[in-house]
Amino acid sequence: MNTLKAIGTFGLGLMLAALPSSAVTLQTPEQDEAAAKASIAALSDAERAQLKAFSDRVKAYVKMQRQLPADKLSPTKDVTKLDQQRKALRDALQRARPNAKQGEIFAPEVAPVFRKLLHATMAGPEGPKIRASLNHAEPIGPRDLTVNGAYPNTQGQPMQSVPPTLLLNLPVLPKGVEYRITGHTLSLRDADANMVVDFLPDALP
Amino acid sequence: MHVAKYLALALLVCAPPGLPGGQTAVDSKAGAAAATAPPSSAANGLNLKLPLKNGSVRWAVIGDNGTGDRAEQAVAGQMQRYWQVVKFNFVTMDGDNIYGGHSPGDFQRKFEQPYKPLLDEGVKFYASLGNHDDPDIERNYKPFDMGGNRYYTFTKGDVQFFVLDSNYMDPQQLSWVDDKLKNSTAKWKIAYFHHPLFTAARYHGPDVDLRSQLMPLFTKYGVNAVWYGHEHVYERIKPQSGIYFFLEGCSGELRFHNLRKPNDLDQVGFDTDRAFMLVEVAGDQMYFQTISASGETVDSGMLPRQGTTSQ
Repeated sequence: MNTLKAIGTFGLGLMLAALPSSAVTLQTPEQDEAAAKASIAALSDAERAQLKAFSDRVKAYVKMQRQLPADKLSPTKDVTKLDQQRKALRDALQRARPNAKQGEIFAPEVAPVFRKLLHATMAGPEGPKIRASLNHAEPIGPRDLTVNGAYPNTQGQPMQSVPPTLLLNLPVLPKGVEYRITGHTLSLRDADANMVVDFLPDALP
Repeated sequence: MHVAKYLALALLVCAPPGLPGGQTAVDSKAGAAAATAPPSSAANGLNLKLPLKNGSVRWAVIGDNGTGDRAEQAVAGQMQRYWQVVKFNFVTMDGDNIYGGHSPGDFQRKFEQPYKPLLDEGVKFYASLGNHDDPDIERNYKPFDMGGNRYYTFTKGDVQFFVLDSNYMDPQQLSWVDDKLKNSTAKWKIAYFHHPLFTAARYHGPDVDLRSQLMPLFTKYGVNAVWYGHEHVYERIKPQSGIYFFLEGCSGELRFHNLRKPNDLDQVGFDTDRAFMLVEVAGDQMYFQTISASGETVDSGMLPRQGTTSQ
């Protein structure tokens, strides 16, 4: 449905347009409030360009993942096979990007833009319900995330849900990659390989 | 009876829009809100409340079931007993299908073994994903019939089901929900997923952000009923914006005495035993029966399709 997509894009556009142009990481309630009040100002062209570059890096990652000679998961009753396929895909990804490190996709230039987006969203009128949603969903505390490592749910830990309104205010990701939240960290999870693609510490207030 | 006190509040049964109060036939264990309940059956010693009409769509509902312990097995045993009479041919799952580890042995112990008699009879299970589920493995686990998808739809007779992933309601999924609901021609539209939009349970409470995104779509496109879990209790919630809501999250787990009592949200609440539900849709009527692990019927009744008055 294109209506909601349009709304989401429009919402993000509004959010982007509504944010102050200065790249400030806001951390106190006063600063959060200031961000909310300042949200009528526009993101700078440079900040928009950084988000576009981020989206391009994610697309490049997904394109690379899809070209790997590894079986993708497909429906079967054989859980062992699914586990093996997922592990094989993760291994292939690790071989394809052996030197990947934190900040390659959440590059230093886009990190403050994400923090500003998230802080402004949380400080805005929808912040309380987003906070309630985060607290509602068995919040997961800080975890040691490793780029190229398995997402930390392999021992049966629950995965925290991501509030939909938060997702509506972030750049849309291509299928196969998800935003995930652990503590204050925003991460990118490969949803086929269950792998941490990158993460951004201190992203959420 | 524990539920009796706050079931008294349920005497103020909210009839769906356009209906006089008495036309929502309900029959709870405590007797509250009982009106014109469908005839019960003593077949096979069961206290069956469904009419078992020819050509009806019948299914069972479970949620938060995947513990692999004796309580899950007890509920599964009751399901098997009722299947002998009701012959429901599918089960909807409100999520948390497999708790803890997700090894092949876990799938066997927490799903395949408890429901083996039903699986052997060809009963299909349609899962939704909870926060304790492994989304990559479970959406591809064939007995969960998700077809590799986090969210999907399927149709049985007059009923179209919209199975959502409330863990990750991204813009793409919201677009999908909008599109599928808009184009649905089904007489009954039923959505189910894991996180509750309304609940009187104390442990988590409702997901108000999820509610703010989904309710406009549900009301716009005439969703008739919604099921979810996450809270480990049973609730039949007063209709919200004309939509029927059920929380069935105690088919394995149980959070004893977790419902706020009294509360003004529930028509019936049950938090002292595990349970599952039976549902039958026949024409403009939806019959339901909630059965505990010990075999007690804790809630039952008939809900008319919104906008109709037939009974």
